[in-house]
Amino acid sequence: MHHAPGRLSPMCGLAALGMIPIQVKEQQESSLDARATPVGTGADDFALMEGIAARDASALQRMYDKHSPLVLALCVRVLHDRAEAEDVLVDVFWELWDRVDRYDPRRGSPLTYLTTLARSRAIDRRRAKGRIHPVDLDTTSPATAPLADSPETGVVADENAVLVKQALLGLEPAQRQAIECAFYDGLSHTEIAEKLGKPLGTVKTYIRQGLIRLRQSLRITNGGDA
Amino acid sequence: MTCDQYQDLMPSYAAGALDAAEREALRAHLASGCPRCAVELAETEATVAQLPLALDPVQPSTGARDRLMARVKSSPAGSTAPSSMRIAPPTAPPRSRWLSYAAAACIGALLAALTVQSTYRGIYQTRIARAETDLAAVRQQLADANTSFAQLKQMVNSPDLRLVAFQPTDVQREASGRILWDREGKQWHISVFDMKPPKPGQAYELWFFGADKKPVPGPMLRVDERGRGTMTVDVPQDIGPITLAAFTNEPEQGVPQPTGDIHLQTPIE
Repeated sequence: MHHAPGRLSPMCGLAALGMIPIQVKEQQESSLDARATPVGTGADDFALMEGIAARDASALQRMYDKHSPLVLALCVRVLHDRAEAEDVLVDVFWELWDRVDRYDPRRGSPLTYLTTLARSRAIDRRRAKGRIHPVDLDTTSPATAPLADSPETGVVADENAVLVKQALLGLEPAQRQAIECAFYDGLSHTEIAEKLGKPLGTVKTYIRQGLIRLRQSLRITNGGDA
Repeated sequence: MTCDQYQDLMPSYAAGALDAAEREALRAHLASGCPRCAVELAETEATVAQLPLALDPVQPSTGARDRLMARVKSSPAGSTAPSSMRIAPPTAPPRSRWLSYAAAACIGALLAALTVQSTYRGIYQTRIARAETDLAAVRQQLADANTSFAQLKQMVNSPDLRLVAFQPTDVQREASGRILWDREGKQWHISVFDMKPPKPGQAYELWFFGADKKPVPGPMLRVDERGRGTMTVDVPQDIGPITLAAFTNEPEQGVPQPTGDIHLQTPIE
């Protein structure tokens, strides 16, 4: 049976073993598979959270000034409505102030808490207004937009944004779309399958493999173990 | 469901896409305190948390900031005295009323102090809890490493030990590897070097070939950034004498039949 060179063939490769001294090498050092450190974590964010807990309004202002552009971008992406997105933005930072005790550092950085809260509140608002309909949703992927100064906002995306965008662009389009349908549009597997016209199992595979690849890309980009 | 199956659900769980039944099953498993799955979920959630960073920031209107700070100022716990507010000089209220004011002020100050202290304590307690979770994960990894080392040590002390070298192929000219074959224990300890990292979503799959030359799938091998990887495998006993071993690149969950190129191979006498 003929196999192309390099393909699996039991009939090829009959090199002699040779005399190889047995060297008992140390077990390959276990690289501690440390938890990936979320990009965008600022040590001063924890200090700002302590200030907010101490009822220092200036700390809330600084937290708002620092992170509101990203939080608003997330709300706009979910709601597709600038005015409603700003309402959610204000509600999110108010909740940060009013219920600072809900923040759990074990779950992630303050920025992670803000974006998680914003996503949840924005999706809740969209559902409350009856806007969730898989077929009608905008499928534009923000990750494919060119990264440049925004003429509207004058806000320059930082290095972390570049890294994450590049990692997202490394995904297959179907994987990226499935992940964004879940994360930004709040769709379940079943709803995503309906929207994309794909089998349920395929959608699950898209999300799983896409996030595995994203995790590997960001881990490598961040220099391996964090 | 096994831990592997739960971990397969975690990307969808972290992205918010799981259907209700699977979501509750995963939550119940996590609540049981599985350390491996807790670590896996934390890493997956950390990945998902980075998705919004790819969005182009949008500068809010000044009105949004004003609305927020107005709300803060009007709230009882967060009110600050505007500089324009005139603070009247204290007057001497009637004795009984003075006592009431003093008592209320003391109680209020005490409650405020307790609230701040409680909040600070809460923040530091959760930080400590986070560190304890991280420590548990590190201990688990150390235990796994010790187990692997114990296996290798046992193998080295086997009375019937053979060393077999892998041969590179055109696909991986610089790669090398060896099998430390414990014939008594029926195990292989495989080490590979200078392997090219596989594409995202792929890993190297081990294949055993018996006398009938049909490939039998083995475990998946992952290599680090230096191209090194190790694995200890049980040699299948139901396919007769092993005549060949090889690695191919496959999807990371493995396939029943080889589809990728051969990266390393060696005949087994």
